[in-house]
Amino acid sequence: MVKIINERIREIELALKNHDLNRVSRRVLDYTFEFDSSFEIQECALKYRIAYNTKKQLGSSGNKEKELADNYTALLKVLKVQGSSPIVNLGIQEIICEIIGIGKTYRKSKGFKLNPIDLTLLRGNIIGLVGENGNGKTTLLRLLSTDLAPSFGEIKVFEGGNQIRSYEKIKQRIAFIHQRLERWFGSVESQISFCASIKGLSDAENKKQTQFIIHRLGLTNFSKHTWNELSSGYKLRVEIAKTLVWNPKVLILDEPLANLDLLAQELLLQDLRDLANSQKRPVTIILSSQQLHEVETVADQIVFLKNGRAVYNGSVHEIKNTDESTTIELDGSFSYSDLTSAIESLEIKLEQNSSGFTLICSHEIKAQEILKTLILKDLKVTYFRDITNSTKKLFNDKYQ
Amino acid sequence: MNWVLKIAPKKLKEIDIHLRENKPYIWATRIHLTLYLGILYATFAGLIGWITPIKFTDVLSQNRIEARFGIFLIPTIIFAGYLLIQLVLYNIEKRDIKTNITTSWLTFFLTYTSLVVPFLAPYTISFVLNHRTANMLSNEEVFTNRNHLAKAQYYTNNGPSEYYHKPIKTLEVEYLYEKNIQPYMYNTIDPLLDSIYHAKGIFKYSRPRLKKQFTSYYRYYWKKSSFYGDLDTLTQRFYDDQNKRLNLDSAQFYLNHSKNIAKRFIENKVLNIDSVIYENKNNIYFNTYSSLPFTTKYGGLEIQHASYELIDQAFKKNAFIILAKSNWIPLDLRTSVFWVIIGVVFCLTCLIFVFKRVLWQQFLLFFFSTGLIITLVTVITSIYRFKSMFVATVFLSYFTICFIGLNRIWREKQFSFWTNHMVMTAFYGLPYIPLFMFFYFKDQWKLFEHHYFDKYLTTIFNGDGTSYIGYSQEYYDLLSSIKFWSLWGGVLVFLILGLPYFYLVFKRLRALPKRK
Repeated sequence: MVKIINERIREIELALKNHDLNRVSRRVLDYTFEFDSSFEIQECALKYRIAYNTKKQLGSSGNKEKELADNYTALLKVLKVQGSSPIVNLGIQEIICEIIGIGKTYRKSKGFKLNPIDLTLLRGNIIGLVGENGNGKTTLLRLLSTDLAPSFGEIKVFEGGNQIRSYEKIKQRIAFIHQRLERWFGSVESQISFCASIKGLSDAENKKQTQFIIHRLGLTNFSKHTWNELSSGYKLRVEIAKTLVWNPKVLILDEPLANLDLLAQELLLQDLRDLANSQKRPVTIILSSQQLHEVETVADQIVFLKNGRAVYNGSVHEIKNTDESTTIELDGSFSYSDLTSAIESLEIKLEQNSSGFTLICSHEIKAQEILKTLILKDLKVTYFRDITNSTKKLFNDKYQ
Repeated sequence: MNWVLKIAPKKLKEIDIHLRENKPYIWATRIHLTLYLGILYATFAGLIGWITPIKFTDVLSQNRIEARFGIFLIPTIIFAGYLLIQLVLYNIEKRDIKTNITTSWLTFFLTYTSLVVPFLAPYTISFVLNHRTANMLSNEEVFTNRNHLAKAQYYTNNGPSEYYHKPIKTLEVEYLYEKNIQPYMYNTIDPLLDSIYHAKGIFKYSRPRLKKQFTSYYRYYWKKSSFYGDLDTLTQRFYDDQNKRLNLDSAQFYLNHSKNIAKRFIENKVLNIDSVIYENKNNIYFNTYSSLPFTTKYGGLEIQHASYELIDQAFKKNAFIILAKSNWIPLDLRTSVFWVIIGVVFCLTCLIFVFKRVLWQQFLLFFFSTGLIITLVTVITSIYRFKSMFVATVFLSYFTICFIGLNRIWREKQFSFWTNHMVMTAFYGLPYIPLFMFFYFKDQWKLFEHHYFDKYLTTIFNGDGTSYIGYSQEYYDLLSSIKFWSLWGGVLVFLILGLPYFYLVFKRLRALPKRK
């Protein structure tokens, strides 16, 4: 426990050192609420986060930023001295859902079948569901949320080690954010507070959680906005806030990155990772996306679907180079012929596509070697990525 | 209803926030906003009633003054329609709200209250007009006039609607002529006595007095009297005794007295005026008039003129004012329109209760399937000309199957069309099924004509002197009791047991995974 606290403090210190006030303000807020800091400290962290969010909106910088950094330094010292309340049952790595051979066949959908998939959801894990359009991602998500009845297989949901059999109770623990968001009325703050009260949070606890989630997800400047006044990215953010405020055990997101710009994607994924890792209320997140690289950076587990079949289902770190090849994606200010001549000394298969080039070669040729060759040939490389151990490789036709 | 909050006092805004943050299921019934709007609406309507000039002629008019305010129907419908949309929009039950069984009762009653407010608010105008009508005369004046009225009516035969003013001798002879005496006696006096026995709890046969607490014997009597329109005088006296004087004994006494006169007439074929006087000596109404000389009482134009004046003064001037004073509920509220509102709002509340708990597709699916079944049954029965017994049995069996079949929801693993249909059919049918069963057993099985009920058979005299054996008033009273309890018992069972059970059923129905 002490180790976790120290790690968290260290993480904040590093962010502070790198002048990443956004991260500092978010993680300090997480820390104070997760480890049950005193009311004054929570208020203080909230105040600083609001100050950061509003400053960002006003475009202020310079002294105010320094002042905020000083405040955080002082707060960090207090946190170190005061320590934190121990959390008895963290529940991390507890199995919350077991999916055994689940699948779906549609009578009218010619030929499509979601083949049996086994999955074990651990508390606090992020599962990335990747695959091309029409390969069964949304079907699988709907099966997992018990919105859709499986044609075969079984889903077991657990709480405290006991299986929950009632669909009503299961639904109260799983939140599903669809790709197409449902319109809501009133202001952002009133909506989030309302969602909290629907799930049984009342009075002070309701206010506390609402304020926490609004400022934590960077909605400070939008709390009085209505549906029409929000961009699609912030609408999604509000939807996540509405869901997280009542602490679901599993959060399912269908294509959350689809309508977001790169910065927003990065921020959202980082927030999801932080929320999943929460010590007090860890949440298992399942998200579907086609942004393979982004998903891989945050996910603990990847399920790659192709034609209704799980081509890969396992840990991100265990994606094996099954065909013993090295695969590189690259782009730069050079032509196809320039690149061909530069790598002709190596036995590399070159493919050109809309976003650049893909190099496939024997696993004996390492990525560093290729990069070194390109630099020596004085080719200006703007993008270079080794996808040898990435699910992106699985998009290759030969895995169909 | 956010615009309501903009014009609402600060306290209401606080209540709104408090409910939203602490009791969202109450907040979603919009009860706080409806009551606020209802109060504003009722106050406005009341003010209109207060500033409207009223005259005696208005009070006595056949077209009651309240009828002028039918225009209030428009804002009422807009208010109710808007509220319905609100209730449909704020369907938090679909969002897996954390509630318990008790909230199903609470939300049902609050939604009901919420919906009934727009309809009842305009009635304030009737309340105010009723109050103003009642204040047109002092209590003393009304009391005096009421006595005049009672005396005057004693001298009339066909009641206040015709204002005949004849001496008592002519009156009684005309009234009790042979052709009319028997139906008058058996069809009117006996039921009146029955109603008194009913009110007092005295019956020929021992049976539970189910209706006693829930029906007004005045209403019962009034209904009867409407069948025999030429007997309004008697009706009015009976009404006076029961409601104004609250003297049931005197009413009973008067009826027995009338019956005795009638019996003597039947026996002797000639009306003995002495016997009438003899009976009347013991009559409480007569006592007030006994100081007048006999000659004045029984002869000449003098008494005609006197009685005419009494009628004219007492009845025309005061009848409605007396009613206004003796009833705090406006006349309009006692009409069927009021019960229609109560019934329609109940049905609307039931519709909303379901709509809030299932997906809209499921909701529409039910109406689609019901429409389909009804159409099929109608077509088949019209082609093959089935007997009504068969059709009724099919419908009852259909409901029974739905009631039993819905319980399979606890075992199901996925949503099914038929379970959805059975659940909703059972929910909407539950309040009315006992009433349906009553009519089924009564009309199809003729259950209430079983020999057990022969003890209620009695001789009924026709107007032409013939007679037949038929069921007594008490028998019909018994049927009426059973019908009454079939309806209200069904509603009570629905409210007490049905709501919490279906709360769980709908929760389950919504949570079941879909097929596609």
